[in-house]
Amino acid sequence: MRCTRAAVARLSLFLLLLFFIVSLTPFAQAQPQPGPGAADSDYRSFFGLDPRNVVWVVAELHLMFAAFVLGVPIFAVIVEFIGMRTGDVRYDHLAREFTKLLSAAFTTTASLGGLLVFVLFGLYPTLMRFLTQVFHTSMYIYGLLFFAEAFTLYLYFYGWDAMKAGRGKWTHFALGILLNVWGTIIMGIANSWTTYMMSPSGIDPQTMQLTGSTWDAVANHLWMPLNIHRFLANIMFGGFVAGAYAAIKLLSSTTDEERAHYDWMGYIGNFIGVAALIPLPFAGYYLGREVYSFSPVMGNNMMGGAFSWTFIMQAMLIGMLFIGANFYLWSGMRRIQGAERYLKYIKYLNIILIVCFAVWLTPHNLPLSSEEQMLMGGQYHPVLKYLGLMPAKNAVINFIILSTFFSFLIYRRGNKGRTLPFSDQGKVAKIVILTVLLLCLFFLGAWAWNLYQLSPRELDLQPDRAPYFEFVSYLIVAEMLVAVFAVFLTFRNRGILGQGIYFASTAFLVTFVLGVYGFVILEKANPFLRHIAVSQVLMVLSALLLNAAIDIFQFRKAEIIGQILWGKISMRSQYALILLALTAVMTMGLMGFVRSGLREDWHVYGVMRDTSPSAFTPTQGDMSWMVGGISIVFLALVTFVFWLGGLGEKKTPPAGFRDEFATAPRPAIEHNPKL
Amino acid sequence: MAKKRPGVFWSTVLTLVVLYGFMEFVFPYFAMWVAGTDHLLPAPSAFMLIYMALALIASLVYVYSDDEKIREFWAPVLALLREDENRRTIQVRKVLAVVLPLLVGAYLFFQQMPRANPPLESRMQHPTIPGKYEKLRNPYRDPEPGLVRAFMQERNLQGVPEAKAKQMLIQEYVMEGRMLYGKNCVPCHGAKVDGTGLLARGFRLKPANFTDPGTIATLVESYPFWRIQEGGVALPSEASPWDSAMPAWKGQLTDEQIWKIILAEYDLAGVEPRVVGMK
Repeated sequence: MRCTRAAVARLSLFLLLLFFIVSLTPFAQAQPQPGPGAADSDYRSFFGLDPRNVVWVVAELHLMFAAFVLGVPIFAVIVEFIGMRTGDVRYDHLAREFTKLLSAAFTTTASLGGLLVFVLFGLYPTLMRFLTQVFHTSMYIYGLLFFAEAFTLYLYFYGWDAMKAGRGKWTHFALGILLNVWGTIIMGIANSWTTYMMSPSGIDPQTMQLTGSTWDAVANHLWMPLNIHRFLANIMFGGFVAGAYAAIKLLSSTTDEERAHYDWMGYIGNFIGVAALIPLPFAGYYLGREVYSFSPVMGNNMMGGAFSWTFIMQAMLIGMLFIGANFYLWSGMRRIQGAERYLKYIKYLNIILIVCFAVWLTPHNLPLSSEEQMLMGGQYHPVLKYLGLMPAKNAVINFIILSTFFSFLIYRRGNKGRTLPFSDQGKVAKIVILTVLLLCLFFLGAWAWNLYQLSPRELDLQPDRAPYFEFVSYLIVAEMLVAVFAVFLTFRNRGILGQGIYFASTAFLVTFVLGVYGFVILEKANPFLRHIAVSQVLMVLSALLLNAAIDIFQFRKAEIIGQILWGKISMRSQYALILLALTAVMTMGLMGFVRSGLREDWHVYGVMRDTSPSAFTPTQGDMSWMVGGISIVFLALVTFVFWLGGLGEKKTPPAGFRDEFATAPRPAIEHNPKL
Repeated sequence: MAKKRPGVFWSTVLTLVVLYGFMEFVFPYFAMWVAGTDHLLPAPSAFMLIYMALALIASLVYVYSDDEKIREFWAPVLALLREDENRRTIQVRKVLAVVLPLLVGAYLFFQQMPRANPPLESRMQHPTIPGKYEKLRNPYRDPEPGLVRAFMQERNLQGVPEAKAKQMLIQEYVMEGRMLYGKNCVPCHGAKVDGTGLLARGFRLKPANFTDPGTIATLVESYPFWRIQEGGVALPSEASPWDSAMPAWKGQLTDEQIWKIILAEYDLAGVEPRVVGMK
């Protein structure tokens, strides 16, 4: 163990050194001098380095640590709650272990935040004077909330043993909730500053005088879309980083108990990461859509202009996340006795995933040689160009999500045999499934009604386009009927058939019908396209929710035909967990560049122009170096911080794990009747 | 006698070969049929590269999710390298020892061989619009009430509802735009606005096809206004490969004429411009 730790420390130092060597090149490229029209005091340099790059590195590192620090408490509290409900002590240990990582990373986050403030005020004084003028009230609140969060975190972590039973445990759980409340508000405040720079509100662009309140500035056009996107992304990020931590621990484990523990931890980390990853493309689409809504020019730059190729990179990374997560689940099925029955589906899931990924990745304007252009009769391939448009992308990402969910379903069914008839599952099962059904019907019905009543005039379309809207509303109604039928079959003890029909219907309607219909809409009623996307999202989310609810009760108290051999997972799957964390880090770095870069030569879009020599969009080569370098230094720092956090830990898993893993083959999340 | 199935290795190789064969030999016919062209449409090399790489990744993901499959996958390769008993295997090994380096050498030779062809181009589809164009709106898409009333007076339409008169006015703008389009744009962009004008064949970069849902349908109207006014010469430096032959019309056409042409282009293409969500 000592040897491993020493190796980790050496590796961290090496990576840090590597980063600084690598990052010197872009830093050294620009020696900042004030641009035309800029006063000397508008911009300063950092020991001759480009201020933009300095802020880029510090802000991105702060953001990555902050994402981890905000994401982990959300699922730590959920895991703790599961432990409380089931009485399974392993969940409590796991929640504590997650929180241990959190408390180690918290100080680094705060230090980087402090450094970011100094760097911003030092290098961009005029911009920061302006932002302070707008946001000073929220800045004080932000600072005070940090105290609240720090004290709550310390109480939560250090009070674990003191509040481990009875009412004390509920108090502890409440502290965890409070920690998340503070964290979410802090994130919301910081997001408002960021989004204000993209979509300012409550200000006269001519005079740069505030015309509204601080709240007007906070609640700007992109604030809520970014809040939702980051909230989900933070959970995903935390889940994958925790999964990678577990993977490294497993790879360096020397006993079966340790391996079993960290295998389980990796599984939970991956589960949380994937659960948050699934709705993330929808949240990303919403954010992108609102960017278009605020400024079509910014939107065009994002998807069709200067940043369009970065979205191809993003497509690669997102594809890697989904493929990596599925690979991990498929590998994990090999250690589940009884899962052999479902292995035959892997081949087909793999084909679906890769075909969808291929479409997801195909750009609208494929790079073509001159000869190819001559043959095609233009710069677009007459057939393949359609794969690069949004209807195709929306169709395949939904299919990828449905397939990933299917992988998870067969994973959790792996060692389950005969199920109890649904009629024997009790009233709670019926109430929960009916509640979920009603919820889905409410959202789907409201949206279908909205589409049915939508006037083409509202979208600047001719009245004869109304039938295009009605068709989609009829489809949603058909999907609602299938959902009702699935529940009916479940109540008639044919839940698995009901799930299958609902799943197939959703995949068919969302991917093939609405996917193809999107092209018709693109041509005939383009502004309606966003409504198609929302319809697809609602149908898929409803299918996921209802199918999950049916599955939980369908397989509750099912016959157990084999064990999950925790710790007997292949080492390759652990590298997949590490890859997932790496990919999540790089995706965050890349998309942070895109979001921030969309402002181009504006500090505050349309209000305050960036007149510094750095007011240009870096090439994708430079961006790749920067994001790659930042990712390396983040991973080095996080490894170092986790190593520090583990210095005082016991060398063996918490007492009782040996027995628990010998006799309890799978986590209670899957079989505990209370869930 | 049980039917002998190919192992994992040969299944993988077969899948890749079949996929390559499909893209190389079947896809051109398929694309010709879908696009309705009179000539084959081969799969672009970038497309082949991406899809073959993905197929390889998918195969490896499938194989490496199971220890047994890994062993089965590598078994023929290891047998070829280690087998000492079977004379046929030994002979194949010797042949491969000669053929493989030759193939690698030939590949490198053809890769490095000087060519007259320019390299692949990654095109920026919608270069960044200058800020001064961003907020422009087409005044003729939703004419001001004053314009409508003046039109009603001019045409003596007092009894006609204002909404109907507005539509009539827009139609008139569209017709004016069509005439202007016919005089100035048809030679390149074609009468059907599909980029197939008489002169289109002379350009390396073909004129934009407005019926393509990926062109003007995805843009706000100020974007084509900028492109028409400033033409290819004003494309920003990052708008590679900077080979647009679009002339700058700002000296030839007034702003009003350009807006009317844009109105007509959307109308002829049967598409709608992107709407600004937050008005």
